[in-house]
Amino acid sequence: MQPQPPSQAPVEPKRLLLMDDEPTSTLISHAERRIRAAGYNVDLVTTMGEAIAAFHRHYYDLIILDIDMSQSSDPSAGDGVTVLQQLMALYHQSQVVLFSGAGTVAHWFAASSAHCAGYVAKDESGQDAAGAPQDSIDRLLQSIARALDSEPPARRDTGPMPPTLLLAGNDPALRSDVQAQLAQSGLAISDYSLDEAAALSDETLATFGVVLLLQHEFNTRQRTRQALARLLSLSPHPHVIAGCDGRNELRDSILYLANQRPFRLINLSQTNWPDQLQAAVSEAQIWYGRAEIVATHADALRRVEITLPADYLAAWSSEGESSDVE
Amino acid sequence: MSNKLIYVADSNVLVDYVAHYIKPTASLTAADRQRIARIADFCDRNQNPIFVPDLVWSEFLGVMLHKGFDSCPTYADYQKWFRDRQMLIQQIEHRLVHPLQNLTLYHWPEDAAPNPFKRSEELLTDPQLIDQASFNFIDRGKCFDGIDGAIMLYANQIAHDHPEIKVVLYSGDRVLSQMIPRLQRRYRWIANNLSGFWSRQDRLPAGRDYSDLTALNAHQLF
Repeated sequence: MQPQPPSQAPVEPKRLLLMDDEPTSTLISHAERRIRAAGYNVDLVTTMGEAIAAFHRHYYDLIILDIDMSQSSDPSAGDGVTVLQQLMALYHQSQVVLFSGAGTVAHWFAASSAHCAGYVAKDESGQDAAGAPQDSIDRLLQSIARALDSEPPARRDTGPMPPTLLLAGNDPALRSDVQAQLAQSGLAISDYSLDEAAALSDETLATFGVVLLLQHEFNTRQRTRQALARLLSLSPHPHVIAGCDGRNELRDSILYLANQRPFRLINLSQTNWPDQLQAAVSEAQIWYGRAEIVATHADALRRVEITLPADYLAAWSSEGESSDVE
Repeated sequence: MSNKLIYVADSNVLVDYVAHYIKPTASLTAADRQRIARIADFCDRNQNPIFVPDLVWSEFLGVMLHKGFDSCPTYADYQKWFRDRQMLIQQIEHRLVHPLQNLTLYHWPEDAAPNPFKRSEELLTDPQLIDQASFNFIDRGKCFDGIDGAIMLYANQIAHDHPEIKVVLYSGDRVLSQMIPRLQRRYRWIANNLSGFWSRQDRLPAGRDYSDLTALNAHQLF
């Protein structure tokens, strides 16, 4: 008798949630069909309230959110980034990808800092690594696959964070400004150009507690992107904070940074960027070596049903209580 | 000694703290709800640090991760069940890790005695402390078990680390509360290092603002 190959258990398809307020649009109809064709199960919701309710009802491996939800009759305030922030506050290991045609500069930075796994613009097109043309749905599928393949940040016993900060970028004046801003931080600052920083060995990079990548504009050349990708892949050990100017014409490079999942993405066009930077450095130190847990969204958390251990509740009971056994 | 306090929280306090932020499936009495609201108010607003020993945190994780597991008929149900528990654990972890929060995770120091359970055996096997005649009214297995013994050692170690600050053990464990006076009489190190044991929230006047609880207030509870 021929030996039988071991039977393979069927693989459960990943379950996705897609939130969009224009479900009958050609783009979303195509996107839904192609997501299914790629082997995923997908539920479609058209309001932000439905998305939050679905999150509490089911487990989803990944959630895709539109940003502008003004076409829905949803009484919930906010937009897709608000929903992202709520979901991240509840459960940071959920993967959330934004798929939007109407995101503003503020949305790009806010979504990245709220730890979205990917950000794809609906009008985005380009080429894949082999030079084949890609539309925005190709990009979305790529972003989904990448997010689902990524492991949640490992919890490592990293010990105390080294009090060192690597500052990298190609704007000497900006780096000088930042050095002055962080003079009171208690961190020893090492200053490098982007290329110099990317050329450091893994062992050297691991000696830093925080990495700052700041430049008014990051160009879209391959060499720059490789340097950014290498340095941004260090998080959470150490966490990497990126910052650049927030202008519409810089969308490609800003979304590139957002898709590399920095710990924070800071808009240097805002006047309060030094305050944002100080706060980001503090938070990066707190969550050194681990994924950031965003503060609770209490109203949403109250929808979670949990069975409490009855013996613990009973232990508080006043029944049979005496002041002392002796 | 200053008027500052460090509270050492037991796992039942954490369970009630969690209960404040979720929708419990079991029905709660009015007294439960009142106590839960007060504990959450206390944990969120009092001005003194609340230390959660790593052992208590482990016990809490064990308790929360066991409840309701058998009510998951499908894999999808299990995924949601597990996610919801992780969600809760993350929320408490945020409070344990973030320096702006009251809760602080306390790790047994590496240079202290190697294992808190080792010395707790001394308490557990002391016939003068736990004799059947005095404790025959309760389930023997629940009487001052290994965790109770170890939390006393954690409170002692925290007092050792912070000699100028009073240490108050904060627990809902009725049996442990009944043991404390006997422990304090029998062991000098407990009498010296444990300033108080606060277990009976219902003795506090309703509507009180717990954010200003001071050492004096705490001692009035005993």
